[in-house]
Amino acid sequence: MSRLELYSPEGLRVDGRRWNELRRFECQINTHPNAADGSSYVQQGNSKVLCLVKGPMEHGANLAAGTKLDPNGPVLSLNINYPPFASNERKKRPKNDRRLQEISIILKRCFMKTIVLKNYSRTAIDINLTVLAMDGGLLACFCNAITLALIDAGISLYDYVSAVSVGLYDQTPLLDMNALEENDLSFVTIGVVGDSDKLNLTLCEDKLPLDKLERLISLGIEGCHRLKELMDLQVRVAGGQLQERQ
Amino acid sequence: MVLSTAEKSYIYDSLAGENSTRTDSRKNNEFRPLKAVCSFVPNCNGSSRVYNPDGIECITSVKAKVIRTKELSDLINVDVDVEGQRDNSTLCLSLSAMIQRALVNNFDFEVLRLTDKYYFQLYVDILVLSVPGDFKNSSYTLYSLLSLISMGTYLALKSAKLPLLTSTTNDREIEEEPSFADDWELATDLIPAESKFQPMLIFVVGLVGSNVLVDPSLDEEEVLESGLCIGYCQGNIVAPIQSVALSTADGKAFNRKLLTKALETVKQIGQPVVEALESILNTEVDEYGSFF
Repeated sequence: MSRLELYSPEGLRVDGRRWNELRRFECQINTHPNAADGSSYVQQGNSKVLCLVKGPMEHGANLAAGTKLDPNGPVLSLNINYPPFASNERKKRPKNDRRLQEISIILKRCFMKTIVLKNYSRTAIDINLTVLAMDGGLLACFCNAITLALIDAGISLYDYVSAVSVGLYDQTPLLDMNALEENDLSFVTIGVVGDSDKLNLTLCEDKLPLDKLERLISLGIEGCHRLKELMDLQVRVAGGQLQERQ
Repeated sequence: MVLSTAEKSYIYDSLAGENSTRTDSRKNNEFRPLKAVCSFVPNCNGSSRVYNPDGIECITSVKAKVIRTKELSDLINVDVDVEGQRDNSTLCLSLSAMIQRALVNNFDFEVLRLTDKYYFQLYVDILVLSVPGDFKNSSYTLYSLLSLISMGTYLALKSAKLPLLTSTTNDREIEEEPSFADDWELATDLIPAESKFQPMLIFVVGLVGSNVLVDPSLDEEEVLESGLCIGYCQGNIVAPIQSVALSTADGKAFNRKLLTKALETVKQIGQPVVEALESILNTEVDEYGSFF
């Protein structure tokens, strides 16, 4: 596909969205009540991600031997499972894939700023991410799934972190990119804290003109606020069901 | 659960006797409840998710690719990945090898054939999402996953869809690469409904005293004398019939009469299990629905 076909002169993208529209967003929490303390499932367009959280606990199962528990906060360990069938073309990734390792470091940093650290001194929290299908927005899906799973596990957070990717086509910013757009355009992923304008997460792996960055980020923040609303709605639905059961 | 010597001997005695009582009060030939859905991953040809209430979950995907080959055993590739285990761990490797061999030996390669030269190659990727938290310090092994995995594979293979072939198949010697319709609405089943062929299933049974236990639970595995995996395909017992180590504790030799009893049991439970799986296949799945 040529780069020019990604945004038609009428203002439509390959999947028929306008520049400022999100993909269909679906999320669920407490999907695996018996397998983990907190679990969530996030679907952004055709990307599907599962997240299982175990903890807070005294010993982490994935904790490398000799790792000391921290008296000032939890030790987060993040494990990303990217099975070969997740992408369109079957491709096996090694366990220590460098891009995934970098993403897990970024996510860890982001959530260490989001979790109320003082409540979880000397504990370990294991986060297990599984990609079922990937069509763009890898980091954004991960971030949203972790937020929901942490909420489900009852771990205290300062606020939601919702993330979305924003790309640039010529002069036009495009919200929530799919895989086709990500391949050809440069983009930045941002994670926003709650309803504020505070960014807890930014990742840009391509070159972007500096004068356009502000527009991209402000569009991204709007998208994130919308995602936060949708996530909050789902959490309240799940909370209501929990109350009914008691 | 790590069991004490007293607990082990209590469970053993209640299982081995004439009127055996299982820890979860099941009958000897009864499965634990299982739930499953299929065709929920859009970019795979077939997919399934099977899980039991203690949290063990197995996600299976089938992807197909057209290749030019004469070697039929190359056509099926199985890859098992267990959470928290390395790719090259003995558990992952032996599970993949057993499933792959079992599938290749009992497969109707006619369904994969396009022309004399071109075949569909299937990649079966199996992901075991979570293992019990006490796995590292208990004596049970996870070879009992075989039965869960084989059910997942069965569902994924039966739910797999392939694009409609548009090029001619009259001339099987044809050199050209086959071509397919773009429209997924026209897709055909990998295993057509009228075909008699069914993928094989593997059942894991435990042997204790003079009893055969179907689908042993984790605490039962710790006291069993021996474990067997038995293949079942289209009403018959097929290879592999072999013993599997369900526990790292010492096992015992078993009476050969027990082997015949085990085969009988599997023959009996095979058909109901196949029927149950078929009914799951017939349930409609909404792509955006809530399957979690």
